[in-house]
Formats: sequence, structure tokens, C-alpha cells
Amino acid sequence: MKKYLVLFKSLFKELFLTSKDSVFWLTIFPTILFLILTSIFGNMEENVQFRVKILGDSEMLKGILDNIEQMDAEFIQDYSQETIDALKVELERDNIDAILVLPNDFDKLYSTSLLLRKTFLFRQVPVELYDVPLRQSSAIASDVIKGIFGSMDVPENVGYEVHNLSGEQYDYNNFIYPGIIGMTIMSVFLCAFMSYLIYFRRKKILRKISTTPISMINVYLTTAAVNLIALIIGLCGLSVVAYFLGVDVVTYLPSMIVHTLIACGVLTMMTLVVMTFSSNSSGLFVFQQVFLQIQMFAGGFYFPLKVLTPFIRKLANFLPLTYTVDGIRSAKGLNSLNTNHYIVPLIYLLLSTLIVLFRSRKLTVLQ
Amino acid sequence: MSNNGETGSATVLEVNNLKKYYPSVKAVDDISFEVNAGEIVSILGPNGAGKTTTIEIIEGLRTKDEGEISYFGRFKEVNNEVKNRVGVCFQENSFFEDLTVSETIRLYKSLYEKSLDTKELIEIFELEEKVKTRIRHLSGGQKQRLAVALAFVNDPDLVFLDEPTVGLDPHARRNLWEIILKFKSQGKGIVLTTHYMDEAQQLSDKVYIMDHGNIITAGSPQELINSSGLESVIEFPEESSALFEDVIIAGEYAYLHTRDTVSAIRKLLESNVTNFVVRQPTLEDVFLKLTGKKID
Repeated sequence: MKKYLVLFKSLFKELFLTSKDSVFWLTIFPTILFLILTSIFGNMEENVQFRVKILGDSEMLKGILDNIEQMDAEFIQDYSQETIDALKVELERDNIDAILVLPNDFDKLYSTSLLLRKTFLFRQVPVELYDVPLRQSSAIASDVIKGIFGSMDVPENVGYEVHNLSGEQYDYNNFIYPGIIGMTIMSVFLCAFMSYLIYFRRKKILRKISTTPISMINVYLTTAAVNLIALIIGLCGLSVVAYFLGVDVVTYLPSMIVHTLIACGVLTMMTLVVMTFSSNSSGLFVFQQVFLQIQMFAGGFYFPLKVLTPFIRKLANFLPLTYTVDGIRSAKGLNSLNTNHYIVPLIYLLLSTLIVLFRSRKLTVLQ
Repeated sequence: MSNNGETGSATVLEVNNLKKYYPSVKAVDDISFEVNAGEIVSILGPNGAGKTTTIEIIEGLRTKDEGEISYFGRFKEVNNEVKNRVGVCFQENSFFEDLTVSETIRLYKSLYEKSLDTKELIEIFELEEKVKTRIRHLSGGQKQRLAVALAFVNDPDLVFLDEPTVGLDPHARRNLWEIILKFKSQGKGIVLTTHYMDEAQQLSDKVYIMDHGNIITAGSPQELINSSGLESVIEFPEESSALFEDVIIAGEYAYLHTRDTVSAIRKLLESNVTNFVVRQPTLEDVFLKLTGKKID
């Protein structure tokens, strides 16, 4: 055990404490990235499509809504008070932007009101509209619906009953925090970890160590442990800043710990797998860059998966860190995937561990 | 550990019929040799002769195609017990650049079951003044001394030293020779690969000369010189090499190995060649005669 402690201490000093680059990239940069992204996108709404649930039926409204691209309206004809209550919860959670409740025979009532509008028999058609005014998308969706009624000849024919709910404002800071965690994990366990191993291999330090009784796998794992400590330090700094910017760090913490540890294991073993196949530094570098770029842009780190193209969304399903970031987001209900967040990363972990064990000799012997 | 019956002559390494073939070249082609405790064995050869491949196979860094290697008369492969008793100094040595000298020694010490005292090691290799200096601030010579020190950190019974004195000034080289001889006197078996023929001649008990993957001759330096049939060597500028039939040209000089020194000198003088040197043959001359190449 002592040898691992000495090795850990030496590697920690070599790779982290005495390296200004490492301190910057692993601990300071994630915080800077977080500040940059929140300052650029912090006031932006996440989507440009308004998700509206309409309880009731209206051929007239369907005809109008079909021509408004930004409206993603779904009509629910059979509903009860429970349906309304459930949808209100969804509205508060930002899963939908507005709820419109129409009376039975809306189209007939509306036509009647038009005919009788100048008589004492005239009655407004009562509709109920639920929105969350604090949230920009909900407020706009609500205005669009009012605008639709406004365009239907005589606006006063429809009497609104507007229900303002107190759902949370869409918060990019809370959304982006898990994305930055994912990015930091990749910075540490894909870029830094792999770069260290490339550096050790190129400088032939590993060759010297391989002549000692310590197992090379344990050297790699000790290097990974050093990176884990660097990652924890980086995430602590990020979390403190995020906390003061209103991110619900405490709610995120349990899922962050679990998903981060799994992701670190996955990337460590994937790096070792690549090392068993590629003996030159350029091969490792190519893998590092390709994986990093694909995972970063297709994995829903900075934007919700639903705004990505269908092909990219499908691709994201096969990437392990998509589940890490989305899994952490699920603690706040901001997840895009409703599948199990552990299966895919654990499959990656299992397969890569098996490959490393099977090809472990490739990590020690020159050919 | 097998023992030949004499104290200090236990065989620490035995290599039999070792082969390593690559698609285009026979890197190591059926070589055998042994190293006894308290013995320095040098492996010499021109670039590409197969020295490094041989050593790396023995060190467990490369796989062999055929042959048998026996470590300390007991082990057939490089396991942890063997690694605990073997020290290695590569030709190109790299360190964790931001560790100090003492931290580096402590790190490598911690990886072995037994080790020499850090202070003692630092004194032996004259690194006292650099104990707290980071590796990146050491000179090339100091790094080289540290690399050799690390080869002895585990108090090994068998040590591989690949070009241990490269980059050292003549004074430091001789100091290191003394250190190596001191460790030899403690019963350690040492395998030396070097480009310095004088180093091999001074330190070695046995020399193996390799070329094209084969050992082409073996023996003590004196045996090799005696058996080479060389009496005198005349060294003169290459442009006058046409004066003789059997000269070896290496760089700017021509080397004539001859028993009839007087006639050769007369011939040189008659041709107005005066800048020549006559000397006794050395290991380098043997090497030159056998391989036709001057070691780079």
C-alpha cells in the first residue's frame, strides 16, 4: 500500500501541484466556462417551440394552429379534473408551456355567440388558460393563444379565465451546470489522463516503471486516482461559484457523485482500451479529439437533446456521457431522456474493463 | 540460483538460443550467453546488431520468439521476484521532471521490496548538493548519474546498464567506472552495453560482440585481442589508404592491422605520409576487424 501512496504523492505533485497548466485547465477553466456560458445564454429561453395542451376539441382552432409552426399543440378530448391537475404539475415543471381548457362544443358555442353578439342572448364562450408568467416561453405561448382568439373576428366573444401558476422560471444556470460537470469530467479523464499517459509513454517513463515490480495497470489506476482528486477539486470550485449563481447544487449533489464516479470509470477504462490498441501517440490523440468533439456537441451538454436533429439525438443515445449529464439533470427534472441513466455507461464500463483485462499485456510489453 | 562451485560465480542470467524475428529482419538470431555474479559482461555491436532487442527481451519489455532465459537459476520469466532483483538503466532516461532528486529516489525505492539507503546512494553517486533540486534543473550528467543510481536503488543482483556514461565528462566517466566496479565487487552481475570501447575494455570480464543478430565472438577483452592475431595497428589519414590492400576505413582514418610494422611504416614515409600513429591493438581494433565498422 505504501508504494501506491508514494506513487500517488509523486504523481499528484508532478501532474497537478507543480503544473500551472493542469491547475488552470482542471480547476479554474470549468468555472470560467460556466461563467461564460451563463453570461451568454443565461437569459435565453431553451426552445423556440411552444408546447401547449388543449383540453377539448375544436376544428376551427386546429385549422389555425396547424399554420403556426412554433406551436406544438396537442388536443386532449377526454379529460377529467385529474388530467388538468396533472398537466398543471407538468406546466410548473416546465414540461409544457400552456394549458387551454375549452368548453364542450366550443366550435358550436363560438358560432352561436357570433350570431347572437348583438342581441341580449349573447354569451361569451368561457375558456380557461393556464400559464406561468415568470417563464418567458409560457408567457409567449399564452400571448400567442390570446392572439389567436383576438384574430377570430370579435375578440370579446371569448371570455378568458387566466390562471397564473407559480412554476419555476426556466433557469439556464441549473441546466448548464451538469453540462459543465460533463465537460470537466472529459477534460480530466479524457484529455488530461490520456495526455499524461501519452506523455509518460513518449518520454519512456512507463518503460522504466515497467521494470519495477509494480503492475502497470496499477500505475494507470493510480494516475486515474490523481486525476479524480484533481476533478473533485475542480468540481468543488465550480459548485461554489454555481451555488452563488443560484444553482441548486445541494439537490444535484447525490446524483452528481454517482454519475461522475461512473463516468470517470468509463473514461479511464476506455482510455486504457485505446492504449492497448494504439502504440503511438497520434492514435490516442485522434481518439481523444474525435470522442471529445462528438460527445461534447451531440451529448446535450450545452443544449437540450430535443433541439438537436433526430440523427444526432439517436447518436447521443450511444454515448456514455450523455447519460451522465442527463442523469445529473434528472435530479432537477431537467432531463431529456426518460430511460435508465446507468445501463449504457455500465455497459461501456463492463466491456472496456473486459477488453483491458484480456489485452493487459499490451499495456506493458513493447512489440 | 545455480552455482559453479566458486563463491561469487553463481549464474545470475543464462540465455539459450534466443531468437526474435521480425518480418524483414532477424533481430536476434539464436544467441546464448550467461552472466555470473560479480561479473561485468559487455555486449558490443554496431547499430542494428540486435543488442537493444536482446536486452529488452531479457528485461521483459519485449516478447521472444524462441529460446530460454533463466534468471538466478530459478525463474524462466520476468516476474515480480525477478524485477525485485534486477536493476535497469536505459540509454534514454526520463524522470518526473518536477520531483526532486530525493523524491525520485524515494519513489523508485518504494516500488521494490528491498532497497539501498537513500543517503548512501546519493553519496555514492555524488548527488548530495542536488538532493532538493528538481530534475528539470539538473544537468545532463547529473541526470545520467541519477539514472544509474536508480538502477542500483533496489540493491539488485543483476543490473543492465545501457550506455551508462553517455553525456558524462571524462572525469565523471571514470568516477562512474569506479562505482560500477565497486558494485561488481559486491557480487552483482552487470550487463553493460556501451559505445565506448575503452569502457568495455576497462570494465568487462567478458565481451560479446554482436552483428546481424548473432554473437560473432566472445571472451575477455584480452582474449579477444590475443585471438584476433593483431600485433600492431597503424592509424593514418584515409586519403592514403590506397597504399595498402587490407586497410579498414572508418571515417577520416584508415586502420592497418599488421605484423610487419617496420615495412608498413617505411611505405608510409616513402609516400610522405607522416601523420600516422602506431599502437598496440585494442578492443576497438578487434571490433573493427570483425564488423568492418567503427562503433558510432
